[in-house]
Amino acid sequence: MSAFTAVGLSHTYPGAAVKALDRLTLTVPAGQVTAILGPSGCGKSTLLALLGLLWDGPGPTGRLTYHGADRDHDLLALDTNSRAALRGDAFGFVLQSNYLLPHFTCLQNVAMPLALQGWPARVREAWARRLLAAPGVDPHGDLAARADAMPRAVSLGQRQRFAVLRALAADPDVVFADEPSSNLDPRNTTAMFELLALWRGGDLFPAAAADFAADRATPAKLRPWLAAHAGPRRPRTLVLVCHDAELAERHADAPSVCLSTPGGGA
Amino acid sequence: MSRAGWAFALGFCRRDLGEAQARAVSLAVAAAVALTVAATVVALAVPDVATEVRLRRMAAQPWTRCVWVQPLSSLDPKFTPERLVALEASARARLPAADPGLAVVGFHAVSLDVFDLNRDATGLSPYGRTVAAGDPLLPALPGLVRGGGGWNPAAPAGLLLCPRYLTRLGGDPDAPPAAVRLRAPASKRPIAWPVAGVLKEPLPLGHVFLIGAADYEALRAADGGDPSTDAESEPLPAGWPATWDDFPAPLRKAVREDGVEASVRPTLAGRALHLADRDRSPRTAADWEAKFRAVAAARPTGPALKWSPQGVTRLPPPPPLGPPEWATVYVTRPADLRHAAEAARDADLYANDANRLLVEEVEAAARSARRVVAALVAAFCVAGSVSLTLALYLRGRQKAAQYGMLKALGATDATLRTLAVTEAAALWLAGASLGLAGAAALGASTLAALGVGWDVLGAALAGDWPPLVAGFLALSLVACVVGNAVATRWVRRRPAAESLGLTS
Repeated sequence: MSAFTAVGLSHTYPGAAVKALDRLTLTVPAGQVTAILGPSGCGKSTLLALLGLLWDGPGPTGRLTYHGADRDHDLLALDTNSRAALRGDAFGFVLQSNYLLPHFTCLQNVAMPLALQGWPARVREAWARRLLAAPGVDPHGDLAARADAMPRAVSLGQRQRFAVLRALAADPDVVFADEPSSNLDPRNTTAMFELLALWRGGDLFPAAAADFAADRATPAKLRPWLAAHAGPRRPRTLVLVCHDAELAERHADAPSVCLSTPGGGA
Repeated sequence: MSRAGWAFALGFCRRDLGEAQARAVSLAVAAAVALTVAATVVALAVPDVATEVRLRRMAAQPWTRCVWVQPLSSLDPKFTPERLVALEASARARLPAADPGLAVVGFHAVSLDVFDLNRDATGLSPYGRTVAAGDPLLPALPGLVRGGGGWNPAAPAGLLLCPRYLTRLGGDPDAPPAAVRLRAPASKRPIAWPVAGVLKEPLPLGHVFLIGAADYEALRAADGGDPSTDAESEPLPAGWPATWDDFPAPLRKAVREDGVEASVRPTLAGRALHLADRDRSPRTAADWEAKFRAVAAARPTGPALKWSPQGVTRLPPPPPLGPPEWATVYVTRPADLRHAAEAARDADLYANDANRLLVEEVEAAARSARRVVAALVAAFCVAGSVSLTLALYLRGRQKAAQYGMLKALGATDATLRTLAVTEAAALWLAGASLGLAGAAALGASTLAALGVGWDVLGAALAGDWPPLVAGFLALSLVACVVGNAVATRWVRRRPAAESLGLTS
C-alpha cells in the first residue's frame, strides 16, 4: 500500500529557467520511512513541498496522488481549503529550522495544530502535557521542565524536539522531515528519531486518546477525533529528506528516492 | 469564519501584538492610529467649540447680546413705557424658546460739549448715551471699566469715557482726570463733571461716553442760575460818554480781560451800555450786575448808572427730556438676536443688528472652518491610511515565516485573514483609545488655557461633531482592517514553502 504516487511530476518555479523536478515518477509506501536523498539543489525540498502541499503556486505538472485512509487525493487539483484541511489533519512537518512561534511557550507551540483545529486552550494544553509525559517521549526529562518557557529560553536541540512534538501533536498520518537533524548534536538527534519512531509505532496516542475520550470535561466535538485515534493501529508514514546516505540507511525502511542533478530525475 | 477561528485569532493576537520581532512596527501602527485619532477628534471639534466660545463671550457682555432699535422717523412716537412693554411682548413671542434674560430698556442718545483738557477751545460735540436703572448693562459695567473704576451700579455718578475719546481730549486713559469741563445742557455754562472711569473697549453705535440716566438729569439741572450771554443797562444818564471808547482806558482794559465786549448802543429810550460775553458763554444775572457795578465805580463822577434785569437776554430753558428715542432689546442667547430684530421690524422700528450680523459671521466662519477641517482631515486620513498600510505590510513581511508555519499547521486563508483583521482591530483599538485619551487631555488643557469650562463641549456634542467623529472612527477602523488585510495578502498568498525556505 502506498501513501503517495507521483507520475511524470515536473515543477518549474515561476521565472526559473531550469526545472526543479523533471518527470519524476515514484511511490512512497505507507507506514514506512522513505528517505529522499540527493545533493543540495537537486529538488529534495521541492518534492517535499509538493508532497506536503506547501506549494500552492503555479508550476507543478503531472500526477501526484495521496492515498489517504478513506480516499485518494489528487494533490495538484485540490482547492485551497482542502489543501489546508489535509495539511492540518493528515500531515506534520519537521523542518531544518524549528519555526516555533516566539511569543508562545514551548507547550503552546506544541498545541498550536490543535488550536487551529478549534480545541479549547485547556484541553489542548492538557493534551500536549500528556504527550510530553508519555513513556519515551522525554527520556531526559528536559522537555517537561522547559515546557512553559518561551522558545528563546531553551536550547536549539530542545526547540527542535518541541517542533517534532508539534508535528506529532495531532497524530498525523504522514510526517515530512526536511533535514531535521542538521543543526542538532548526536544526543538530540537520537532523541528526536526515537520520538518519531515512537509515533510510528502507534503507542503514543491510543491511551491518551482513550483517557481524554473518557473524561467528561472533554468537549463533545472532540470525541469523534479522539475515538478515531484511540482505535487500532494505522499506518504512519515518515518522509525523510536528507543528504546523508548513512542517516537514510539507518532510519529508512523503504527504498530511498535518490534525486540527482538539478532537474531532479529519480 | 467559525467561532473556533475567531477564538484562535483572539488568543493568537493577544500574544502576537507584543511580539519582539514586530513590536516596533506594532507600536508605530498604534502610534499612527493614536495620532490620527487625536488630531482628527480635536480638529473636528475646533470649529464648534471655537464658535461656542465666541458666542458665549458675546452672551457674557450685554452690549453684544442685544439689538438697538429706534423709530424710523423722528415724527414717530418714542419709547414710552407702554411701547417698551409691547415691544418686549412682541420679541418674547418671536423667540423659539423662553428667555428669562429678555429685556427691553430705553436710553437717550445725548450730546455734550466737552472742553479740551488742555485748552479752552472745544470744537467737539460728542455723542454718548444714558443708561437707566434696570438696564442689564448697568450691573455689567464695572467689569467693562479699566481697573473697575469708581462706577457704582447702584448709584452711578460721573461719566464713563471711551479711551480713544479721552486721548482725543488730551488725557491719558491710564490716568484719567477726576473731572472734565463741559457746557451745562441747560445754561451752556462751563461746569466740571466727574469722570467715573475709562471703558476697556469702544462703545457701540459710535458713542464715546456713557452716563447714568439719573446723573444726566442731575447734569441738566446743575446750572440753576439766571444765565444769559449779554445784558444791557438803562439809558445812560446825561454826562456819560457817548461811546465805549470814551470810557476810561483802565476800565476798558479790565472789561476786555474779563472776556466781555462792551458797547454803547442806541435804544428807543436813549443810549444804553451793552455787555456781551466774548465767547457767547452764559453768565448769571449776579455776574452781569457785578460788571455794571464795576463800570459805575470806575466813573465816580456824574449821575449813577442804572441797569435792569429786564435788559438781560434770556436763553430758553432746555426742553423736557421726554421718553427715550432709543431702546435696547437684550436676549440671553446671541442666536436669538435675529428673532429680536425681526420683532423690532414687525413693529416698524429701525433695528441696528450689528450683533446679529456678528453672530452670522461667527456661524459662517464656523461652517467654512468645518469644511476646511473636513478636507484637511480627509487628506490626513488618506495619507495616514497609506502610511498605516505600508507599516502593516512591513509587519506582515516580518512575520512571513510565522504565517508560513501556521499554513503548514493547517491554517486556512480565512484563518489567516481573520488573524489579520483581529490584529488590525486590536492595534486600532489600542491606538484609538490612546488617541481619544490624548484628545481629551489636549482638549482639557486647551479649554483650561482659554478659561472655558467643559460644558462648552455641549455645543459640539449637540452639533455635527459626534457623527463626524463616529464616522471617522468607523472609517479609520475600516482603513486599518482593510489595510492589514491588503498588507497581509501578499504573505497569506505566498506559498508556505517559500516562507519556510524550502525553495532555495
